[in-house]
Amino acid sequence: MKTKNKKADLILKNEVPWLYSKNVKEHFFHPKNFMKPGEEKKFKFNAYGEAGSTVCGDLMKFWLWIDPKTEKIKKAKWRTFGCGSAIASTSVLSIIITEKGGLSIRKAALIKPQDIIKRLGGLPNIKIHCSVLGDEALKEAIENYYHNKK
Amino acid sequence: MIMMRIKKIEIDKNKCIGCGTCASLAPEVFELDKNNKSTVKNINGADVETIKLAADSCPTEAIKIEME
Repeated sequence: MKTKNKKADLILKNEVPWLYSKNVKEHFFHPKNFMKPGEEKKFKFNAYGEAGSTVCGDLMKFWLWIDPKTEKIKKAKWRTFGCGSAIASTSVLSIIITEKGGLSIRKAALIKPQDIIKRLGGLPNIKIHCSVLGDEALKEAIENYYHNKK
Repeated sequence: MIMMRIKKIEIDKNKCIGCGTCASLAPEVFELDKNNKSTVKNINGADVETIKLAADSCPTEAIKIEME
C-alpha cells in the first residue's frame, strides 16, 4: 500500500505535465500590455476595436496608438474577458504588433491565428477557438483607425 | 508518405455555435452564413493539415471530415 501511495504522489507532483507551453504560461501569469482598470482614461489612442462571441462569452478589446506618419503601431493595450488561452494569445499578439519599432498596420491586418499559435509555442487544439478573437479585435481596431482618419 | 485527400466535409448545424474558429484558421474553406453557422465554401481552399486543424479546433466537434 505504501509504495502505491508513493507512486500516486509522484504522479501528482512530478509527472502531470503542464498542458500549455512555457510561453503560454509566461503570458498567462504575466500578461504584457494589459489595460488596467481606469488606465484607458490616461492612455492616448487613435484606434479601438473589440470582438466577441456571445455564445462562448469571451470578449476582447484592443486600444492602439498608431503613428499617423509611419502608420506603425507604437502602443497597444488590450483587455479580455476570457480564459488562459485568450489572455496568453492576446498578450503575445500585443508584443508581435509593437516589437521592433512597431508593425505597419498593413502587415498587422494580415496576422493569422496560426501566427499567434506558433509564437506561443503551440496551443491544445481544443483551446484554439479561445485565441481567434484577438486578431479579430485587432482588425476591428485597424478598421476603426481608417474610419477615424476620414 | 501517402497523399490523403478530403472527400467531404460535413458540418452539424445544430452543434455549430458560430464561434468562427474554422473560418479564422481556414478562411478559404469555411465561412459563416447569415445564420452565423459555419458552411463550406471551398473544400480545396487549404491543405489537408489546415482543414484538419480547423476540424480539431471546433469546440463543439461539429465538423466531420471524410477522407478519400
